[in-house]
Amino acid sequence: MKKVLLLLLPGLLLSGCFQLIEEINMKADGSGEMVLTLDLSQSMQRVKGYLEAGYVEDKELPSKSQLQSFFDELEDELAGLPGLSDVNILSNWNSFVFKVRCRFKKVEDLDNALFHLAGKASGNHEKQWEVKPNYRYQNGIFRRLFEYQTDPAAFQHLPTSRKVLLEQAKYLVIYRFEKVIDHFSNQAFQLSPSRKAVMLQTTPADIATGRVNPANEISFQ
Amino acid sequence: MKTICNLSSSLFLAFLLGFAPLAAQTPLSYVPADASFVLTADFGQLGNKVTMKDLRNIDFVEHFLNEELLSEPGKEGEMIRHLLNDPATLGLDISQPLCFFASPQGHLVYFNVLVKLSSREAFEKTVFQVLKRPGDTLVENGACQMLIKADNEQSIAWNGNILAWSFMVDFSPFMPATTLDGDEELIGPEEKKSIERPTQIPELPTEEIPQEPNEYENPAYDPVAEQRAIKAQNQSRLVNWVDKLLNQKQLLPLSSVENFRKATAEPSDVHLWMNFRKFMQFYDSFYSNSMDLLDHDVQQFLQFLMPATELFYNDTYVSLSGNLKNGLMELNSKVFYGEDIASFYKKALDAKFNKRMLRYVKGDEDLFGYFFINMNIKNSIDEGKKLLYKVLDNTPEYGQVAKDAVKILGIVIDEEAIGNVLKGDLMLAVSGLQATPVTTKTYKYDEDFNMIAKDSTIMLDLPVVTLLMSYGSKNDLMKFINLGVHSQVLQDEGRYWSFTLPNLEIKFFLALESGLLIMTNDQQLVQQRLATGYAKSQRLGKKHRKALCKSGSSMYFDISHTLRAIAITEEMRRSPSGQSALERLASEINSMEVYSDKYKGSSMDGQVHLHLFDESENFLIKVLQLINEFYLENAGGART
Repeated sequence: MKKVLLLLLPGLLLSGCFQLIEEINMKADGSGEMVLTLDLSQSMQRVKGYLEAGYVEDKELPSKSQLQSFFDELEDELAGLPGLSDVNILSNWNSFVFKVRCRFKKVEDLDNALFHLAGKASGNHEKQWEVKPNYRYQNGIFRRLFEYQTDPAAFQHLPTSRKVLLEQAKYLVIYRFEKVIDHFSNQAFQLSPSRKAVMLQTTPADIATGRVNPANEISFQ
Repeated sequence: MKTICNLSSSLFLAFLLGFAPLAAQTPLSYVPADASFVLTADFGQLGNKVTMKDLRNIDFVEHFLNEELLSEPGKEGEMIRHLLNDPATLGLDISQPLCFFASPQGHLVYFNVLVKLSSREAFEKTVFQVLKRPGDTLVENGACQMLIKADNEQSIAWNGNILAWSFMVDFSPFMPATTLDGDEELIGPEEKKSIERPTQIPELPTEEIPQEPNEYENPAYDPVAEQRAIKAQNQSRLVNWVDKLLNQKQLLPLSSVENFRKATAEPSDVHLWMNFRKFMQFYDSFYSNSMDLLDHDVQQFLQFLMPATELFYNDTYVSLSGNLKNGLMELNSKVFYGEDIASFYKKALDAKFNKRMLRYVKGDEDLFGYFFINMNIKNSIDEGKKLLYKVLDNTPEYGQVAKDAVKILGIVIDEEAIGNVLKGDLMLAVSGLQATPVTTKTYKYDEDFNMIAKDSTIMLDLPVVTLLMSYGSKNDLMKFINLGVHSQVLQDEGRYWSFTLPNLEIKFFLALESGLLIMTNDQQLVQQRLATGYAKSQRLGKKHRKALCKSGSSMYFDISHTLRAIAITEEMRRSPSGQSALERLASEINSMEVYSDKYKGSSMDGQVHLHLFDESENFLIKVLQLINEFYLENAGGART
């Protein structure tokens, strides 16, 4: 549970309504592109105010230049990971939308990237995190795995302001493929009209409490 | 006749003398008239409503007491436990009001806490024994004893009635060198004359509490000798001050101030008294010190403003009293102004409520709240001019030319003409929600779930806002409206005009009806009810009407209804935790009312009422219980 929440630490610290989008565009050969988006545009004014003040809820916030250096450093580190290329972190400081974009040779390479990203963002790099399998593509089947422990009771014990934040935020998962989908195991996902993409619209709170599980197994025609 | 007068005077004197010893018993009777502020807490009265047992039944209060206070070891801990359980064992009588006040004397400010003693002997055997430290000095002065702390500029002094904890703050580093010396008093010549008696620094017998000799200390090479000399001087000033305070030398009591007596005629749990003049004099000393840092022109402008601000705070006293009742928190304010400002407010607030406003305010269960102010613009300008002339009369350095120029400006500013456009009353009401088309950015997905942003018009529930102002001459007001129409800000729609709020893209309407300028986003009101307004059954109730008629300004806020409306918004619907918290608060907190009376008598009075639904419990207990629920939830406990 805590690990899932720590993934959202930047959003939590800044507070306000946010949207997290996980997009994967898979090619038939198993390579592809991933885009992770943190969209704080709905809380733009509030985030801007917090950054100008330099703190939120008595916690000191890094400055815009410190955050930009953090992103630059992260970009270099991700680019050095095996299997990843064209790593690019786009920061829009006007609308507060941040995107991590990269290409991968095989989807398993993203496990290292997510491990690195989560550890770096939470400030507990390699201490509390372990590499978990998140994506697999074998024998023509795409799998989204989710082996993180959820704890609904722990979520209930969070301060109300934090719970409201996690309940109001949106978590969007979109997987696009070159082939037409034949079957997908998780009916919480929607199938696109072209039958080449699936989408899950949920909230971080639903993931943290286990009400929704993003795990899925997708096979193709 | 003369005999009757003499008899009356003698009786009055006898009455005063007879009651003087009684009055001298209370901590308040020791507070000097020139205190800049006095905060009084009447634990005796509060204790009749909320007991320590009630408070300790609340988990987080008990947790705080146990963790932070009651767990203190040793004699200090024992003293704290006695203080909470039975303060009489410490010789303290907290059934009498406890006072905290500040008395500025030049660059020194003496802060004091006064508590009634029930037994001097018990105090000396308990609290005194705990508080005294090696190095402290015990000063005896007849009936009064003082313990001067060695490590800082504070003293604990007591006589048979009162315990005074005093500490001194030296503000000289922040003040100009010309400021009065610490022993002089910052009071006006008249005030000073009335209280002046010969100053005499008492030579008091002292008894040093034995201190362990420090073998490393060599006075010949003491690097902080200067600081010690300053400290010794300050301690001597503190002794002098406490002697004056406890022996009531040279100090007129605050109870001799007529306005203070009026302000405290009704008992209250907590009371704050501010002598605005003393407060501002002290503030001005800081301000004068920082003037040199400003540009020359800014300095000149500010120096011009100073006499004007003095007019506002001279003879101005502020009284705020708070009472915690069952289901209600009540704050009462009284502001006493000097003659000129009082005259301004009396005339500026001399305005009759325009009852036609009631037609256009929907006051049924949908009402969220309103704000209303009733000023007389004509009188305000007239009285404002008089104040300005008075400022100029008091500042001859600006010369006759400046005075003449302002008087010519006074002709140009025609209060009759301005008052005939808008009378000076204003009512802003938020009454219910209405579905309103709003243009916003929405996202759609193509056949591969690629996001496509587009501007869409969606229906949103937005508050119905209505602003009302009385006008005099429709012809004069039409000149402004025609300007709006010709500059295409306003669109003529027949009986009314419309305009769109920039950025929000929300349509508002403007109408002139029944002597009222109406601005609203309530389309139904302007299209169907402009002539008649809402049905009588939908208008504000009697309680509101009465408050509006008698108030110079008033505000009503239905907190419960507002919280419930927020709980069902699109955003909150996604958050069960947020909805539940809002519903919980909405079920407890009812409403808030704020009134400010018209200036009648000697003060401008105001009230703030915060209502809870449950009137069986004291406000303090109920609020602490609510805090406790959220505290327990956030501390990992359950909300009950």
